[in-house]
Amino acid sequence: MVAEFTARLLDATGAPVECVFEDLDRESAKYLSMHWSSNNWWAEIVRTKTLIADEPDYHWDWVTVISKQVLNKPSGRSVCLRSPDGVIQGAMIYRIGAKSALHPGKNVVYVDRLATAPRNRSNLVQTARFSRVGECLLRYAMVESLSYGLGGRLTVYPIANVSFYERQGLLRTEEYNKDHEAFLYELPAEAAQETLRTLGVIS
Amino acid sequence: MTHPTQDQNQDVSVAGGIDLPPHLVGDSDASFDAPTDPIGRRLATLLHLYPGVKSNFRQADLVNMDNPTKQKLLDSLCQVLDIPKVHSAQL
Repeated sequence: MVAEFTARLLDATGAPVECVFEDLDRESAKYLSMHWSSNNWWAEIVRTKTLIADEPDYHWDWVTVISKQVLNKPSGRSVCLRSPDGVIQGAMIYRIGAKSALHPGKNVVYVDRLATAPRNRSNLVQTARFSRVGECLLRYAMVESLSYGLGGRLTVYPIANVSFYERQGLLRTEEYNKDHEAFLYELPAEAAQETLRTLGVIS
Repeated sequence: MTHPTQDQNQDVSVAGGIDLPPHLVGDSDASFDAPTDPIGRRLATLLHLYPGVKSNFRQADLVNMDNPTKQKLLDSLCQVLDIPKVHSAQL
């Protein structure tokens, strides 16, 4: 039997809501990109605490990235989290088999892009609809890493809220991107497996 | 009793969008033939990642395999590669 995973998000009152992971295809990705559709997740929020165009992913064209990194690359994957009403609450594009920055010779899952819906960002809206979206997507990447024999290892460039990643057990590597002023972070296998064991994913 | 700070309550909102340096790209950017169905794609990716086991199977064989056969192949591949069994869970 194939293992199935769901996400336990928390709504604005703190009540748990079970959401499903689904492949993110090109058609669904249009909803995430302001380039493709007027009905997109940016257009939904009317009043914001900070400028919406200042969000680092505001100009991301998910449709094009999926075409290049997922449809044309067998190691690319894209996933989204849908709430029970069918709305996408977050999405992630990742790649299997990048190189570890901490452990030469080991492979990792590289989290290429990850974003929660703007309506779920506490820096943008007064009351986020759901929390835990990003955490659940990262945990999904850990499961994928484990399933490909990569031990749960993953790398990612945090471009905001670095302390969140450190609390998840990710370590700062020496890899620094000058243009984006960001260090590459890596989750070692031990930390990933400890998390997955706690969740009951592995025995 | 201590309360979490606002920062500790924050979830990750956005990450990535930055190209990996070339020496860390590895197989993540490789092009190889792979079926489009989920099991076939998983198998093809595993066979590509672990070329040592490739001699027993050919990627081209995957196209003509039915799903139960692909699943069996995936299970044996995971066993050979010592990939731990994952259980359904709420993340």
